Amino acid sequence: MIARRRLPRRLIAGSIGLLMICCAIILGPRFLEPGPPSDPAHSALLPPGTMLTVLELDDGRTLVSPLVTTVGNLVIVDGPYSREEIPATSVSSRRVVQSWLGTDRYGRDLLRLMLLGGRLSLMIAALGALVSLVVGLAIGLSAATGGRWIDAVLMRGVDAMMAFPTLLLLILCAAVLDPGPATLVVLLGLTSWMGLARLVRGQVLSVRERQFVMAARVSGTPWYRVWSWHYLPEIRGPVAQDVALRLGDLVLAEATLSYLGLGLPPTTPTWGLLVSEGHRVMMDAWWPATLPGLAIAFLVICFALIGDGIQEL
Amino acid sequence: MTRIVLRRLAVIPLLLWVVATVTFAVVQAAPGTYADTIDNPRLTPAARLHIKTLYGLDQGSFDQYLQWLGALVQGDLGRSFLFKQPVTDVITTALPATMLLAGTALVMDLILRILLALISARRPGSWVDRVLTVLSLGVYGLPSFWLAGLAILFFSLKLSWLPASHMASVGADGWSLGARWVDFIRHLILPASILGIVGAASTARYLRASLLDVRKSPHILAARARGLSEKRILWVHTLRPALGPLVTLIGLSLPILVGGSVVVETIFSWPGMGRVMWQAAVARDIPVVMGCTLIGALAVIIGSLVADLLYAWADPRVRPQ
Repeated sequence: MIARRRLPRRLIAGSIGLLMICCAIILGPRFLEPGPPSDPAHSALLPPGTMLTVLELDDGRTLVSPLVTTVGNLVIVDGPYSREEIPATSVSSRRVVQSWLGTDRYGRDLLRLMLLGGRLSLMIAALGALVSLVVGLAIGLSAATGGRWIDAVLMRGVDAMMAFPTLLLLILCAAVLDPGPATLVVLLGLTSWMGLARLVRGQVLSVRERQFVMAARVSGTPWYRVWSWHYLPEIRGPVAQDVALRLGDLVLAEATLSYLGLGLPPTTPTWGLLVSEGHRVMMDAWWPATLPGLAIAFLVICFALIGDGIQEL
Repeated sequence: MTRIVLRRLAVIPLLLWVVATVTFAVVQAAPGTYADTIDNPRLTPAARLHIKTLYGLDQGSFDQYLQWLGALVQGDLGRSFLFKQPVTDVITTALPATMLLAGTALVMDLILRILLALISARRPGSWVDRVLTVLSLGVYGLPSFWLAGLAILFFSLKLSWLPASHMASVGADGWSLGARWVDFIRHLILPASILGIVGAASTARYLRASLLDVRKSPHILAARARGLSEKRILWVHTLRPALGPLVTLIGLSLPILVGGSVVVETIFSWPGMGRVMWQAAVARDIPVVMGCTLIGALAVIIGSLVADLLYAWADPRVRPQ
């Protein structure tokens, strides 16, 4: 009877954090007030927790402002850059919403932006890690099992890939290819698989020398069974750990690329882009740069905890 | 051993050629040439065309590649379009700047990393350990551009303690040598701290884990049985074996010492390799892009060779028979 070991605390903490983020970005937008269209004139750069009045007018316009007063039959809408006076009769609906995390410089609700951006950031990192996992596994396994020549060629190829200045390659490729999430996934995936390939090759080579594998092979066990019984359990742990840590790195890489203006068009609010947008107004408002930055950190920490936890397993 | 090293040295030219060729192809495939990126509204289309022919950018990609390769074989890296000087000059001015920044950052990284790991590993699970672990994980998770922006905001703009960009103040050329050094160090502090702290925060936990591993080994028990002080056990008997894998760092950090950090150098306008490379890539300055790529690739290849050699030197178990 094997005693059940307790799961490492880091793994639990990281998984719970990741689960929380996933729930928030998947379910969050549903519970939010249907986002008011941005109204930069009246509601740019409002601090977290501001109550906003949303006015829908007869002519189809929507005004969003924290300062709405009614004087007689006039509705006065104040903003940092303008002031409008509207007859009360032309206001078709009026409701009050709270902007939990404030607004950015275009008057967009930061919480909503971050929830939508989180989907993109997480999805790009996850798919990028998947690409790097597939390529890394394929190259690493072929190098370990394909014989001396294939091994030498593939491993020198890995050396060459590592010698490329990754960021430069990303800059130039981003110029060649259409900017978009798919491009980013492929680029991030194809520039990050080398470590995994080396890891897999090393693991397979070291397992192959172990006596139980020798015994299994000599006794005529079919190759697929040798793989599933002996190789896979040995490779699984290190690979899972590597992928978890890589996910965090890819989130950071995507943020860095977006910050440098190479990732995605500005209309797609990933967390990196939000930070870079927030930097422009950092002297006036702390929240547009700080909050997405903390969100990135939280996600990366969750992945790091999971990675470290898998190692302790 | 010597044969393995020689074999790996022999493939270096081949690797460099592959890297250079692929990079050249990618630069050529990127839309626009240097002539198109010049941001001058008074430049007429005819003048743009003239610049294009002047730099040989109107020729076919393959011809340009052959010319570049031919010059390279003769040891000539070409002239930069953007900086109007030979690529070797561009690199020899940028390289010392990057080495100073990255070198300072590396020293800070090492000291901080060892300190963090030692303090954490003294009493694993104590509140000091937990606070340090959470703090360093937090710093590791934050993007470095975010930290750099925050540092500039606080220390340069709000408190005006430290300068936010470049290596020297305007007009520092006329100052005395001492004043220039102080000025340089003041400029160095922010970018080097960002790089050093981020580096230490992202790796201290690995050193902590290996310290804890070493603590379980029998020689620590033996040292304790001999009545050595806890301090001596920690600093000498635990730290030294745990530092073994760290020698590979000397090799692995060579690329950073040579290539610099694009993000931090760009944010702090530090005139090093990372920033030069970024400017050259944006301006499609092919000779500089290629020169930086070659130097960077060489650093990676030599660095990983040195790392493997040092690792084999430090740990006899991985030495090939």
